[in-house]
Amino acid sequence: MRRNGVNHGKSYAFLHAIMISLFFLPFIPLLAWSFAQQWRFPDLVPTVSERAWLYVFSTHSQVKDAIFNSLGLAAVTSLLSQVVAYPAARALGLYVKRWNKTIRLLLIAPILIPGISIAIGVHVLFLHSGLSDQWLGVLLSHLIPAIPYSIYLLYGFYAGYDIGYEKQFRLLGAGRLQTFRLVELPLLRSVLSLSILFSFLISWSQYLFTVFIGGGNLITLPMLLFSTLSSGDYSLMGALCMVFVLPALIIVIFSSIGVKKDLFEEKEASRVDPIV
Amino acid sequence: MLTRLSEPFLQVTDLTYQYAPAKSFSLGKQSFTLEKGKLLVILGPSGSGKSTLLQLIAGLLRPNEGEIIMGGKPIHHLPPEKRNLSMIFQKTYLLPFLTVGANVEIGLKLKGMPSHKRRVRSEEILNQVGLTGFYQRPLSSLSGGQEQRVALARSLVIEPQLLLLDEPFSQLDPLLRRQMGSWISDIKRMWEIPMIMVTHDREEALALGDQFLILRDGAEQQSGTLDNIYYEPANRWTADFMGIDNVLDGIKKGTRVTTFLGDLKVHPHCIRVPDGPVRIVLRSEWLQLDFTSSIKATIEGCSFRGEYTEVKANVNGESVVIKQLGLSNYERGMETGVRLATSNVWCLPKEVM
Repeated sequence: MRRNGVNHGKSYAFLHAIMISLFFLPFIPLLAWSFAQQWRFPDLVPTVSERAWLYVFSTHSQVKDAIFNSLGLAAVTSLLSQVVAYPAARALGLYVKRWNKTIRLLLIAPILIPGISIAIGVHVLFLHSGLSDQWLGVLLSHLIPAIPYSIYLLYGFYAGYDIGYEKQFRLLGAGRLQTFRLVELPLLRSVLSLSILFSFLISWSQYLFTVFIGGGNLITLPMLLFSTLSSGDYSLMGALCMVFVLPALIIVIFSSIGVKKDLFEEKEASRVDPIV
Repeated sequence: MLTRLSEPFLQVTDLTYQYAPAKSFSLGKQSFTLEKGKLLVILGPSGSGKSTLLQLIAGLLRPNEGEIIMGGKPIHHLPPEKRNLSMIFQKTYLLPFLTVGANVEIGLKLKGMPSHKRRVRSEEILNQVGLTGFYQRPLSSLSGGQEQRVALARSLVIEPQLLLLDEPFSQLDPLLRRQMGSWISDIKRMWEIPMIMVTHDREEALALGDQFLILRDGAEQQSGTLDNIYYEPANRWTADFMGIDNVLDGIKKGTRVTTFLGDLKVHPHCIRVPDGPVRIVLRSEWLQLDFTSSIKATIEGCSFRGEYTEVKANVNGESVVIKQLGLSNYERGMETGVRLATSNVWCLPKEVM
């Protein structure tokens, strides 16, 4: 597609602005609630209080621990799921021809089957093997919904990947590792960062598996959020929601910049009418 | 490097390859030699094993048996990056996130050459392929032909001992393809690099090759020089593949053969073909229309093919194809004569057809 003309650029910016504001709109009431003491009809603005935020940052609240637990789990989940998904996706995309569709269907089964039935089954299994109530057990359970997404994202890349790039670079004198570092990784980068982001967010917002497998020993942010929800404290809920959404928001913004900057897509898209 | 003069630069001996049992294709024993500054063309239809053979030499596949000796050293056990050869594929495989210069010098970078030296060498080689001043350009600004030349530059800058070409120009338009062909000839002459090219394009093959190897279903059909494969097809299939339009029946007796075109002299190399029924292969360009000839013919049809006119004529009840240079128009049913523009004919025993 050709991108030219000032009008086109203007309408694009306008649309962009609308989309961004729509994206941030739901956070406004949350932010307002987090600073509210009371917000009753017919008040237009709430009476301001920093109570909720003071509680969030206070030493005796569990928020800080929960953030660390959630961050740790999400970080390790996102990395481990890439480690599992990379060889699987590469093999499925490039080498495995027989039973390919069946294998892929089996691999996304954890997403298709309701989470609760998996959680119960896994819980029983982990009770037997002593992984229940353990950090490692919770981590493994978070991998269950995260890995299929990563495999699928990376598979999409490898299904259309031309292994000729690697052959060419081997013949130019690159070893296997150099080929991976110089050719495969840069080409894979945008898809890989998306896959990391996805699995991070899946683990970050995981409630069901954490409760079942962690047995309440491991407090994560979604668990705090749910318990606040039942307490009816709207201010604290607002503050927690803001904390909950923040890392996700930061990652989304950064990764969208990263994806935009991706030179490969950019170049391919802007390739118009080469001059002979 | 000290190598005995009698030894050819590249020696491939009894190379075989069998794909996984699920696939039935296998490449039968292949042997050939190649001297510096020569270009070997491996010709064959698709699925004949020509790309497999090239990948075996490149090291992208490991042969089941056989050996490859280059410059006096065996290389068949080495991984591709240690073979000191370079390959150009159908696609250029240039990295889109790098500039032209960075793409060209990537092989030097892998060898650990410092950046200022790399740049000098890359700009030098870009000059030689006619892309002066392209070092800083982004890849997206190049045309198809220019991309292919950048790929060529990238392969040449590492000074390979052997250059492999896997149908390198098949995605270019005919004009560019011819241009790239002459680039290859120039480079072969100037650099004395031995090259092996795989193609199914007969015209390109005949224009560039010094030596030929014709494959079919993983087996060698014929190998030799241009003269060999052009004038002396080893069998009926090769004759068809090389575009010989006329394969006629004849009865051979000693050095003569009797056909419907008359009594003809047999090629000296065919004397050993047993007497009796044989097949005569005649290139259509060796037959000419001649009103004064004693061999009478009737025109059955003609079609213009851009550079020549293909005329179908009936001689004594048999159909022959004749190529006339330029555009000529003959009426269907016109009476004329046919003259044979060669002193002897190539014949094949009937069994090998």
